[in-house]
Amino acid sequence: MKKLSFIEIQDLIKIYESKETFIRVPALRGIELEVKKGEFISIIGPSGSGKTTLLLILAGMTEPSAGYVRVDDIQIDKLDDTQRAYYRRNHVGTLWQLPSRNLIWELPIIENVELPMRLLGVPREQRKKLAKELLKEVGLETRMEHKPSQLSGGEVQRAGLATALAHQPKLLLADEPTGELDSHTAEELLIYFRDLNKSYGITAIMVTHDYFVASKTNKIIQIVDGRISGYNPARELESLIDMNKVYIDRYGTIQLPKHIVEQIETQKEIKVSMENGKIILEQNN
Amino acid sequence: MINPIDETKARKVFLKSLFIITRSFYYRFFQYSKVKQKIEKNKNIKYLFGVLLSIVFIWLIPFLLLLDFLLILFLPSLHIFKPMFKAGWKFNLITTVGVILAVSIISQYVFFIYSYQYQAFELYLEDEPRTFIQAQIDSVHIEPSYTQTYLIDRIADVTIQEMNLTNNILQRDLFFKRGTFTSTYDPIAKQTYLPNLPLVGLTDRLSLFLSNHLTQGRFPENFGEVLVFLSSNFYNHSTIRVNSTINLYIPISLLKQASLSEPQAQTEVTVTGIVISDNLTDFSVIGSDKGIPFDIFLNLYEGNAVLSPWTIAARILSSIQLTYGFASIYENLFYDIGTIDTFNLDGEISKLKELAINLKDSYLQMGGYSGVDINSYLLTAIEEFKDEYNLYQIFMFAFLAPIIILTLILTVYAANLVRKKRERQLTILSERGTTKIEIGSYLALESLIFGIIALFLGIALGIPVSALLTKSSGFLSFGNQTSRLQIKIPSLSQALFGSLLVILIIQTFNVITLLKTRSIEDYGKVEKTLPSFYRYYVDIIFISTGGILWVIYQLPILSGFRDKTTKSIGIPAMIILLFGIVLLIQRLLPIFSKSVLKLTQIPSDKLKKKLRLDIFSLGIKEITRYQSSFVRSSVILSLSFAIVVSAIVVPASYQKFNIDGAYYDLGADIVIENFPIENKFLIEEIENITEIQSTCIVKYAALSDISGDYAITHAILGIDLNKFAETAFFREDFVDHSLKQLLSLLKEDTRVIAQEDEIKTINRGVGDSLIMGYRAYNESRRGSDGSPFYRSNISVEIVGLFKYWPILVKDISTTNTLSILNHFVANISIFNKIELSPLEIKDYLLIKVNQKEDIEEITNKIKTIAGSNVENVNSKIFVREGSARSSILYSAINSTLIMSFTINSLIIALYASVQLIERSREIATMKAIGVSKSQLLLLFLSEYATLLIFSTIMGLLSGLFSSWMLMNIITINRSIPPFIMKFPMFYIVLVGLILLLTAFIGALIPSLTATNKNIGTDLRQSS
Repeated sequence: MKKLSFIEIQDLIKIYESKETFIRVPALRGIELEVKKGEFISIIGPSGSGKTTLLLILAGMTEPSAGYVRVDDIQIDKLDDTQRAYYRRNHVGTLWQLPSRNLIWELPIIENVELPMRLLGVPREQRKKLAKELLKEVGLETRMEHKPSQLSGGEVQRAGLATALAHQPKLLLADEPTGELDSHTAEELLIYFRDLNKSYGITAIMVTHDYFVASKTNKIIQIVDGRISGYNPARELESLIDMNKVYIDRYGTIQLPKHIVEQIETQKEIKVSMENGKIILEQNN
Repeated sequence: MINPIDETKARKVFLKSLFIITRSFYYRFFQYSKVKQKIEKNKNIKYLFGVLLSIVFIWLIPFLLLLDFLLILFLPSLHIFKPMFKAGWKFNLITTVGVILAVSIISQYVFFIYSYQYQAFELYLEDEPRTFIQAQIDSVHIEPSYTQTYLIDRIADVTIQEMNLTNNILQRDLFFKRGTFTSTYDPIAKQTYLPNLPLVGLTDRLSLFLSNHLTQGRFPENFGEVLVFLSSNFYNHSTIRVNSTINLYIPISLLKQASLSEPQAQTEVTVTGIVISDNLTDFSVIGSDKGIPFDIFLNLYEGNAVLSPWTIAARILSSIQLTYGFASIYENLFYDIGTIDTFNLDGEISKLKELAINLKDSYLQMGGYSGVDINSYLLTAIEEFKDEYNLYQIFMFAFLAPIIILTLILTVYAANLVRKKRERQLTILSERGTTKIEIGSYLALESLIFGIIALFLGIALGIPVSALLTKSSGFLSFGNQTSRLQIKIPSLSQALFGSLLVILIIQTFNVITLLKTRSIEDYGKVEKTLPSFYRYYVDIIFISTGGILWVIYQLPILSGFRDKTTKSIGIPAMIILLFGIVLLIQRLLPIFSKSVLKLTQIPSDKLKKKLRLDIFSLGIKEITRYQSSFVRSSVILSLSFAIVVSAIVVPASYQKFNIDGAYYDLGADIVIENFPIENKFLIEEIENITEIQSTCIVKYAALSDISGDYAITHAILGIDLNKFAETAFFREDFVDHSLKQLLSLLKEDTRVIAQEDEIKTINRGVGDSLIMGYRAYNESRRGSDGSPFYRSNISVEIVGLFKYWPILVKDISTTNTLSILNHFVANISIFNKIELSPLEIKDYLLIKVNQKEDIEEITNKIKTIAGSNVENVNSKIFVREGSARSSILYSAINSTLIMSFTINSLIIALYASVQLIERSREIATMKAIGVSKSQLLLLFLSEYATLLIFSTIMGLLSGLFSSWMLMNIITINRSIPPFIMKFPMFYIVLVGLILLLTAFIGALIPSLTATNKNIGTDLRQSS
């Protein structure tokens, strides 16, 4: 049977249950998604919408409560703990927002990059060669022996990216990789991201809040309250950015677009009011 | 794309090939040996193969099996070992420090106990001259021939051979002794008196010893010739000289006073030589370094005797009328103390008991001697040593067990502190696709490596510390004790085994904790609550469990099993209660920090600025913010301080208890038992010793009234009312009011004071009268009634009550059984109203020495005047300063103190370091907003100072409580006199200050490092 897509998700449900209070919180409420091989897509949505949960399931780090999830030819909802570990080892590369979650802080970055290859039993010489190549590609060839604490934020994330790609995974998952970076460094990282996605032909999924970041991908998927609210080819999104559309999540949190944030004074109180169905945010000078 | 290798498959292939290698090795070897056997039948080669085979079976096969096992265990993690070890070794080292400490404490304990036990008995016997077994055969007709001595000695020899103890008995010596006295003129007192001078018949070795140590004259050779053995004081107070003749008499009446008139049964002997006992070297025993004073060897109560070779002495004896040539023969058996296995005291005790029984049997069966007494002084010594040693073990156990537990907590705590960092590494590893088996295998390998390091370093550290401990001579002081550190295979294996067990517990705990799946989102949480164990009321559970165990331990029904229950119930109860209390009082930490915070919030801004109280209050607020971690540290600090306080208070209280106990039993500094109180001259001479403050005569008798099965005994202590209070030992708590007041009530002969509990059981009280029935004695009745004994009674009036009375009250009878013993104190003149045989009255002379005078020295002075029946309080105190016995006591204390100092400074340093790593970002932010280095330092130090003050107060309180419990445990076998808690405030404050200082230095170093850190790096190193 010919495969139609690289990732196929049907009726994916994930419910978290608190061990202490026994309160059940549904994070994903029936996700349907297909991703083609080599695609670079972004998932956007407000906080608590289920983006990261979806990513964790795809990364084989958490079990879905119900539904069908297939990556390449592996049905990951059927895997046990050990099988999921082997799935992560062989197929998935991850890049997280927190630099400390991507790299072992006590090791030089070259050893961090070598680690996923060690797990696969790549011979030493080959491992060194590959790690050096990767670090060169992300522009860190002169800082290979440095520890993460000696690098800048952007460099740390680039090293993280090199680590995520070290074992040449089929799927690259990134959770707000630019969240801790300034816009220039973020853009630089995204360029590396896209270039590597193209040169290695890896399917990449990135979770973000940022429409600007999302616009750099082939496809944008919006998740609201654990459901997909629509597909948006990136090109069409330019208009979205101009329209200044934002999401208000169930807690009432709003994330303002970056270009507006840059114009206003942050860390200051603003007045919120509602008139005729319109929300008005006022900042006094 | 890299071809991923299936790890499981690879591992299986590797293991399979390994097993094939192992199997084919065995196969080939055995095949080869068979082939060889066919080709060459040389016996030598066969033998060689036998050896090789045994090597294979004994060493190679287990080695290969072990290798297989280790490979199965560690193979899954070998590929990640290098980077993970590199990333985690620093964190592991922190945990390893705790493990090293635990191992070192265990090895210290084991090596010390072994070293002590190894030579403790010899040390114990240092002050005990009677270490032999003495067979006393009474009423033997002494024959003037050595054949008799050979025959008697042969009996002992055969018995010893039958028991296979030939190598244990170093020497046997025989002599006979018959109580005689003489009449001599005292040129100083200018009067004639009748001193005891027993006649002793010597065998060859003893004769030789004395002939070599003659002070004057020659050794007796002919009939009627004797040698006189006496003290220099006796020599000065008599006219007995070389060539003088003396009369030897035998006592012929029951009455002591009979000796005051010269009886007819006597003989005349000539003194050919004199031996002055004062300067005589000890009688040496073959194969032993330790000699024995000759007067003790001969069992001379007053230290004087007339001696002659056996045959001559036998003829002298038979020449005295009424002796009919009868005397007691003594055989002294010297046991080789070096052969006593102090690790099997029970075995040794039963062996000695068996020897005593067999000797007695043999003398009866083989010699027909029925009146045989075996005085096994050695057995008594071993039994006493066993009790005392048990007590020391309790001491060591009671202090070191909580210290070991504390170290375990410290280690787990240290592991917890670095766990977050390690978990982060392991989470990344797991996210990159490492399985739990691989992580578990890696952690096991890592634990093995660090466990081995900790094992060797811990034991290496334990050896010098235990060597130092064996030299403990006092509170944190170490002198040149004679005991040496003994490291033998049993002690080493026990230390290794104990340490391995501890390492296994710690490392397993660490691995399990690290293997738990944890969410990375948990990092950086602020712990505003008490540690989780408070949620399960662990403190309450501990207190109730400890309380129940304590009640069980105190149950009267279990009093017969104290030896066993002390270690299994008493001490665990104490430790559990102590831990429970320490945990419970930590609940006060938030309240304490809030109160301190309020103190810092004074309204005056000027004063605030001056005292830098703003920073201080900020520091204290941090305690509430990081409550959980602070409480954990506070638990350990309070515990270690509590243990230190107990380590000071308990020995001090015990020493006081021990001294009081010794005084209570004896009655005064120096006491002469069976003192001839009629000899006013002797009392005067003693009182003339300038170092003596006062003396007091005391009489004791037990009036028994037996009718049928019912027996009531009234023990009466008659005291000299004028001198008792200033001479005798007495404590305020022994009576309700003052002693003088009580004594003033005893002016009349028939007034008595009684023990308050006992008198209640016979329904009497103050103001009541009591009739005491007893068996009276009057020699003059012998003629008319045929017996001097008759029933009589005395009526006394109870005028007061006491709780305890030295010499008199050893046990208080509280139950109304058929046999009742009641104790009374009365004026010494009460004995004028009671007609008792003089043998039933014990006379004592109590002596009080001037303060700061050497009791020992004065005892020796008195001994030269009054003979050897003088005892002083020092000899009854077990733990007197400088004694070998006190060494172990102080070892326990010193070990506890050293360990507590180390643990305290380590814990606070560890805590401060880890806190500062955790809070590096916060520190950087503070520096970035302009907080100065000194302010930052003040901030941290104010946090630790508050913590230390709190834990010190709490530690002190719980320490006092645990001291009280421990005193209850170690004094459980003796309730009279009750113990008094003693608080050496100087030492407590001193140690408290040292602890605070070490802990503060521990906090200062990381705080200084943190304040000097670069801001940029820390700010960048997010979360």
